[in-house]
Formats: sequence, structure tokens, C-alpha cells
Amino acid sequence: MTNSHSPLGTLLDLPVGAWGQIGDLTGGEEVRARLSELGFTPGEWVRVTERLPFGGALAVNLRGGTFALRREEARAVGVREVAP
Amino acid sequence: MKNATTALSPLVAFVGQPNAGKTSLFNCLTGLRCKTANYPGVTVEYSLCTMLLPDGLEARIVDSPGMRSLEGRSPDEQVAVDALFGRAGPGLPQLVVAVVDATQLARHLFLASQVRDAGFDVILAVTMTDLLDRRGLTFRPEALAESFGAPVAIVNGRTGEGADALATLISRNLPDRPDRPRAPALPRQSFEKILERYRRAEAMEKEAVVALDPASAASVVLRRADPLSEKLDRFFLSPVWGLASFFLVMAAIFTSVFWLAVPAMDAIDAAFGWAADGARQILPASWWTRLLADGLIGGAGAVAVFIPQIVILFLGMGLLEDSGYLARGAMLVDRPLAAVGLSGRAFVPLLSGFACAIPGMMAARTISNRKERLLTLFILPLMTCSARLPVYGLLIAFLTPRDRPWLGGAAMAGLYLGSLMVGLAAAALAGRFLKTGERSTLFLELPAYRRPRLRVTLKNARHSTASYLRRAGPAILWIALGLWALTHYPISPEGTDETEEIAGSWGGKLGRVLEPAMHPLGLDWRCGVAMISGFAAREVFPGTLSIMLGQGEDPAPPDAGMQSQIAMIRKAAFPDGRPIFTIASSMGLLLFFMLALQCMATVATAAKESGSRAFALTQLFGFTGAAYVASVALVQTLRWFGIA
Repeated sequence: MTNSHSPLGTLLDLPVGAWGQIGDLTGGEEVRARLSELGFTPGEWVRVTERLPFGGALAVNLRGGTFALRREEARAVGVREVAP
Repeated sequence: MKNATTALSPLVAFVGQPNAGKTSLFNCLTGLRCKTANYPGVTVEYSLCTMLLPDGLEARIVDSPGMRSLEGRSPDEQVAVDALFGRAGPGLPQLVVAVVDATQLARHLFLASQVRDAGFDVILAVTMTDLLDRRGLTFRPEALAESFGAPVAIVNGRTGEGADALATLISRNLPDRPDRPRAPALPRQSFEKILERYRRAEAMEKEAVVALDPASAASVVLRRADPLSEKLDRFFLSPVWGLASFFLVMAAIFTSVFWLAVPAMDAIDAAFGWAADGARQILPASWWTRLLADGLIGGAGAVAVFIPQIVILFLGMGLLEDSGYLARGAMLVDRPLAAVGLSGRAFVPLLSGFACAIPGMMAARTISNRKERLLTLFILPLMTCSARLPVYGLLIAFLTPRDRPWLGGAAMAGLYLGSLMVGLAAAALAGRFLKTGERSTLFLELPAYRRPRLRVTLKNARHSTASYLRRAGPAILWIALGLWALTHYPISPEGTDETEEIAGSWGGKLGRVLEPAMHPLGLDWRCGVAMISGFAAREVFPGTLSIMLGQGEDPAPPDAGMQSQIAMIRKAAFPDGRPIFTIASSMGLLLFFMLALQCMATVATAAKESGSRAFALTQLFGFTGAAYVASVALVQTLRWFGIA
């Protein structure tokens, strides 16, 4: 899991509480633009702090703020590394 | 005179991301003497204020909704962008105050640098530096001023610290010439440009925020959101306790709307009844005394009596918003709302709709997705607004047996939940007809929890209630007067019995025309006239009903409180002696009021906010038609089962 430089998957796969480094953003142009405007940029560190049950939203900690993202939005954020 | 000076005074725009502390700073600088109304939940329109600068000159300050970027991704962000670029509102600003949160500096500098690069003169107003101190970090204003290339002021909108220094900075940086020589241009955005801009913002953040302890890296500390908020979220967003506390918070708001408002409502009701009685006794008996007592005072009482409930709902929502909880509520309900094509962003508009659909429709401007916004606008008239409460209150009080008062509470809760369920079903249904390519998104910021400020919330609630009354009050009063005239003109010859008088009036004739439509509901023409009056404002229904039923019974003060209204309803009978208000007909009437769109102010707002008259007319005829059919079906079914 902590193997650096190998793609881990997406924000959706990141365990709650672990820091991950953002890789590529996928999804449509609109989703990528909106994610990047909030500061989801490659190389930045993110963390999932809460995960609502029944397919609900995730609370994501990024650049000192917290954002609620839907699961398909979290899936658009690639994660390439997990901090110990 | 005032206009002449303000037209010349320079214009300063406040710009910032949502939750940057922009509006509290604006209020603190200008003292809330603003022109436009702000509804709770969001700054939906720009507000314009005049403030006195330290050098004795005046400046006009414009505040607009928060935005993430200059792209204008939702209608309220578009309002903010348009106001900034002078395409709407007071014109092109000579100076822009960019409000940035020190704990999220890179994200906030992203927008500020876009504004600067568009060609505006910018001052940075940095908020939340007190939160940095708590985390062992320090903010260096000189470093930011140097790297960003603009003057920097440290401010605290909650306490007012730094506001004077900011005012001085504004007056010092206003250009000498009031008109701008160059026109700013919207920068073109691409994904690569966004990344590049973030890299520069990060570099500025690194310079401006440093750790007091050289061994720790500021960037690592800064990454984390507010630690206390994270702990609270572990509770408020947990699967069990989060949902339990959500329902508790909502239940607390709605029960306080009922219980806390009752004494105030009774007092208002009694005061207007007393005033009407007084007018009847003091003034000579003539038609215009009755116009004053029954029409004017009674009509004003109908408006005033539900003010307490509106104030309490606005107050509760304001406290929740100021504390940061409202965004968590929106996140929690996103999944169920997504199932019917809405999102968590509809939460605040729909919650406002329980006070009044109009501020709810204004709050829907924060929804960026067009389909979601239209669906939210579509179902808002179905939410149980406070204008329905006087009607529900009267009919439920009539229906509830004295020995089982809890039945009344259960019926009221059922009407609330029922309206929500019907609304969600209507959204699911209407969503099938609204086809757009856009994907529904959430992207909702969860701001740090803060202690709510009672004073600010009280002020906002007062402001919202006042603007609501200005919007709805005059219409309701005119209708009350018009209705009184309708039921008393043309004036009958002296000595005519009052029952005959009203039967001979225009209102009586109109009611008789509608009589065939009332029979399937188990009601008579007098109820029909009262229901027509409800189309101007639902809350005048009880008053009109008692005017109509009370005719010919002397003395019958129409506004002498609910008990007399209930007594009147109990006595009301068809010509053959059968009572009009039975369990079946009262329940049918409740269902009608739950579903029908009977508020012309809402129809007008829906047409404006959706940009389509057909949309608003679909709501008007769709909901009202469905309400009629459903009520007839309910009444006839109940009768078929032997319930009168």
C-alpha cells in the first residue's frame, strides 16, 4: 500500500484518516476544473476524514479546508502515494 | 441630495471565497445600513452601502456572494462576477478588497490573484489569523504584500479588530481619478492555467505563513483542517449519532416554531381583536367603521399573527448556519436527495421553504446545476410554509378531540412530513421531463465549526422578517380590504338583513357560481369565497371564513381569536341543517391547502427565478388542480367508508 510512485487508485480507495498524494484528475472537463479550483491539484496531499454510509458523501480534508464530495467525484481524484 | 453625492463617490467591491468572513467584515465596516435585502443562508444579492472613510470622504461599498473563481459556475456566483465587472449593479469598482482566509491561504489567493490579473487594483484583507496563532503558526503581512504585490490588512470581522486600519488602507489606495482608465478583462481559464496559478499561490502561502517552531513545517500543519471541527465531525457525521443528532436538531427547530411562538401569537391575536373591538365601540356605526375594524385591522392581524413563527425559523436557521452545522446537514441529506435528482445544496432552500417559498427560491441561486435548481424551485411551493399554519391550526384545533390533544400534534407532524414526501415525489416525477446533459455534483465546503453569534443572528432574522413583510404584507392587506369590499358591495338598501346583504354582494354572486365545484369537497359557497381569498395569501383564509360564516350573526367579531372561529365553524350549516365542517370535509380542506399553490407572490418569484412563465403556470395549475382532485377523492373515499 505504501509503495511509492505506484498508482494506488482514487480518493475513494483511500482509507479514512490516511493522507494520500493526488495524482491525475479524471472525469469530464467540468469536474476537473471544479476540483482543481478547490485545490485538488497533482502533488497536493488529501485525507478522507469521514465517509457517510449507504453510498453517501465523503468529507475530504485538503489545504486546510474540508469539502463534501460525492463518491463519483472522489473517484475522479487519482491518488499515487499514501503517507505512512 | 444624497443621490448626487453617492453617484460621485468611489466604488469599492468586496470579493472572496465562501466562508472567508467577507460578509461579517462588510457589516462591521458599514454598520449594516444597506440597501438590498439579504436572505438567511446566503448573500443572494449584492448589497450596497455608503461608508465614511477616515479622510472624511465617502465611498460606496458593494458586497456580493462568495465565489470560488471568476468562472461564475452558479447563478449567485454569476451575480458576483457581473457586479465585479460592472455588468450589473453599481458599476465598475475603482478598488477591490479581496478577503482571504489565512488558514486556507493558497485556495483564497487563487481567486485574489485572478481578480488582480483581470486588471483590478486589489487590497488583501486577511481574516482568521487568530486561528493560525493557536496552531503555532504566524502570519507575515509584509511577506504577502511583497509576493502578491498589493497592500495587506489583518482583520477580524467577528470582533471588528483591524477594520479601522482597513478603512485607512482603502482611502489611501483609491485612485485620484474616479473613473477607471482601463477596463478589466476576464482571464481565460484552462486546466493547466488553474494548476499554474495554484503553484504560484502555494509559493506565496509558503512565504506568508511560517511556523514559530523552526522544527515543524508550516505546510504540513496548514494541510489539516481545524482539529476541533474534525473531532466534532466524528460525531455529527457518524452513521448513527450523526443521523440521530440531525433529526434531533430538525425536530428542535420545528417544535420551537410551534411551542415558543404560541404565547406571542396569542398576544398578537388578542391585541388585534381588542383594537377591532375598540374601533367598533368608539366610532359611529357606519360602513367605514366596519371597513376599518373588520377589513383593515382584521387584515393586518392576519399578517402579524404568524410573524413569531417566521422569526423563530429564521433565527434557528441563522444559528445553525453561523455555527457551521447547516453545511453538515446538507451533506447528510445529499444521498436521499440525489435519489430524486436533487442534491445536498437543495437542503438550505428547502428548509427556508418551511418559512416561506420566496426566500427559499432566492437561496436556490447557490445551486450550480440548472436541472437541480429548477427541480428545487419546482417543489418549493409544496413545502409547508408558515402561511399555511393558521389554516392548519384552525382546522386541526377543530378536528382534535379535547381528550386526545396529542392527535393534533400528530396531525401537524403528518402534514409536514407529508408535504416533504409529496415534494420529493414531485421532484422525481418532474425530473423525468427535465433532460439536461449536466452531471449533478456536490462540491460542498464544510466550514470550521464556530460559536454562533446571537447578536448577528438576531439582526439577520429581524432583517429577513422585515423584508419578507415588505414583500408579502401589502398584498395581504389589500386583499383583505378588497375582499371586505367584495362581500359588502354593492351597498344594500338601509335595513337589509346582513345575510341577505352578503348574498346580494359581488362576492356572494361569485361564490354561487363556484358552488358546484365546492359540493364534491363537502363545502358550500361561503367556503369557496374564503378559498378564493386564500389565493392572495393563504393565511387570510381563517379570517375570511369567519367573515363569511359570521354574517348575519350579531355580534360576530371576525377576529376575536381562534376559539370564536372554531365555535363559528362548528355552527356553520347547509340550508337543510347538515353541518358543513365534518371530519371528511375538514380533512379534504387540509389536503387541499397542503398541495395547492395559492400564493401569487410565489408564482411571480418562480417565474422570475426559473426564467420561464410557463414553468410558474405549470406549478400554479398543476399543484392546484392536483390538490382539488386529491381532496375530492379523499372526501368521497371517507364518505364511502361511512365517515361523514
